[in-house]
Amino acid sequence: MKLAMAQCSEISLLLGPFGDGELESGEIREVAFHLARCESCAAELADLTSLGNELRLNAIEPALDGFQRAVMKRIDELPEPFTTRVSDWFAGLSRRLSTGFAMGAAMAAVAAITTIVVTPYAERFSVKHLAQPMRELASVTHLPPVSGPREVASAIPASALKVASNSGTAPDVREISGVTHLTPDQEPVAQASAISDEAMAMAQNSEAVISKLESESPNVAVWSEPQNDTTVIWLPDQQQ
Amino acid sequence: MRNPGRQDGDEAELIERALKGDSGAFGQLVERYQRRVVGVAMAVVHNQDDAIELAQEAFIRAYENLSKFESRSSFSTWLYRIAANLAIDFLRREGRHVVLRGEEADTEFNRLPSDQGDSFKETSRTELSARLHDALGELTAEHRAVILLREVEGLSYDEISEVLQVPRGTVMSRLHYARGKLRAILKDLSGE
Amino acid sequence: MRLSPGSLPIVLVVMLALLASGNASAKPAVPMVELHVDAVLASDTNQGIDKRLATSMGHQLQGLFPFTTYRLETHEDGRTQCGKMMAFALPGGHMLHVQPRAIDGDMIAMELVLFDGPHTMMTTDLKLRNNGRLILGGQRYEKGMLIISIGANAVEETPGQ
Repeated sequence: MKLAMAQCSEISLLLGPFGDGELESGEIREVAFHLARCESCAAELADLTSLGNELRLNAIEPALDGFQRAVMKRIDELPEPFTTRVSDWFAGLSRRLSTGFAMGAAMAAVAAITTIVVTPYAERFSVKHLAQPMRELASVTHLPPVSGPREVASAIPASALKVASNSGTAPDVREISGVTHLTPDQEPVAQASAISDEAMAMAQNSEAVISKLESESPNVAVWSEPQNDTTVIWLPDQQQ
Repeated sequence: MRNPGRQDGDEAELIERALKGDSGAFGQLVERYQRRVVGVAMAVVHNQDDAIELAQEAFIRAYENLSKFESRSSFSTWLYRIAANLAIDFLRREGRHVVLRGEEADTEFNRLPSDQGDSFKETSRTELSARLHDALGELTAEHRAVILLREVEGLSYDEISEVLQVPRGTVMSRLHYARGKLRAILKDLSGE
Repeated sequence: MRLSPGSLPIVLVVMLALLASGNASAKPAVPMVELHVDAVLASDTNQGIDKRLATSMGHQLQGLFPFTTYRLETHEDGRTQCGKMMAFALPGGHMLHVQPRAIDGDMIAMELVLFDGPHTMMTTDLKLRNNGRLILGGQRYEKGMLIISIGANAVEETPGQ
């Protein structure tokens, strides 16, 4: 099967996600091949990478001294919820009353009053935007690039990272410029980061499971081709 | 698409203890996530003081609504979403895009603490840094949020989608636009 | 049954032979790995697939990459014990070091280091499926691109075979 070369206009839209590790395998391959032949697009990707580096380098580091203390102070000053005060009052009442009937009556009263008062209270404090269930999502930490020769590739797709993360080896994890390094030959532990369905399938079908990859190549890409029984590591030349 | 994740055991325990009234446990969660929550707020409002205040409010809201948090999902993403929503609401109430230029930008820098640990160095404000800050100020809050959440906070597209409550495709297109716009602004500002 | 004095040397020889074979069978198998490294020049000169690749990975390469010419530059096979490194000279001044580390079920753990002259281009630790293939690509070479194919399979043998 001969693969057609994509146009620069199509590739341009994919350069950002390529650098962010957010493309599917087929797209990674398409962009990687195009970059190997198109200096203009390769330069644009380098530009985007530089922009990201500069944003990280110049990010304001917030002053957080006293932040936790301030939050906890505000929490301590929060009024006790009405329901809690009602419950406490009735708990005290039940201790004072000696008959089971009185206790039963007290509990029924709590239920009735709770039903009446909790509803408006709950509405007041509801957060409207949290109706949908949340999903655990992996996070990638980007650190400022090291100066001088780089030990680590700048862009290995997340799907490939997750293949590596799912190798069964486990973390001593260093995340540098978007690459996760795992120390091999350690006991498997529960994964802290989420694994996509696609990455799991890739790991199970993959001919290779990569636990460490270091390269000076500016835009390394890794993908698996199960139908060809092959895993590919793409190491494009550095830009002149 | 990503699988639903899981709480790590330590965090789940802290949440459980906080739900039972252990405020110290919640304090540990604050310490763990404060940097990132402030970062999320800053990505939207582009002002440190406002971001810190909004981040504090986000933690308060989270504490008050902890019983509504579903433990099978991500606490961090839930928290960031609260912060992002508060920040976006804040900007809408203020009725402003925050644009920092020239003298106003200098003033903003001067207000920043000058001796607050290793990560902040007053003398590191180069001309490029100033241009970058100006350029970010020219973006809309939505575009600034996606590019800073991606580049500085390192969130994935799916996480950004969850936090900002927009489809993944919208995240991608906003990122594409924001990157192109920043590059163009920086070129203009440098006179290239 | 009584042994005659003349049969004693024969008995001793037989006993020694039995002892030797017992010792040999008690030695653990040494994991050996066979490595197969091919360097292919891929380019857009419309010359098709090298005949020497036609029966092996030619069609795989066509399925993986969009080039119109695939020419086999070097092919090298090697065999080494786990823990020992093998070096493969590649075109364009490249060198590949492969060190199998262990055989873990159906996976072969190994370290790969790719050099461009004295310059380390890539270091990777990985597990490759037995009889699987890893491809390294992206380096410009002559008027095309260098594609390096690394295959590995486990061989179990004892020393002396």
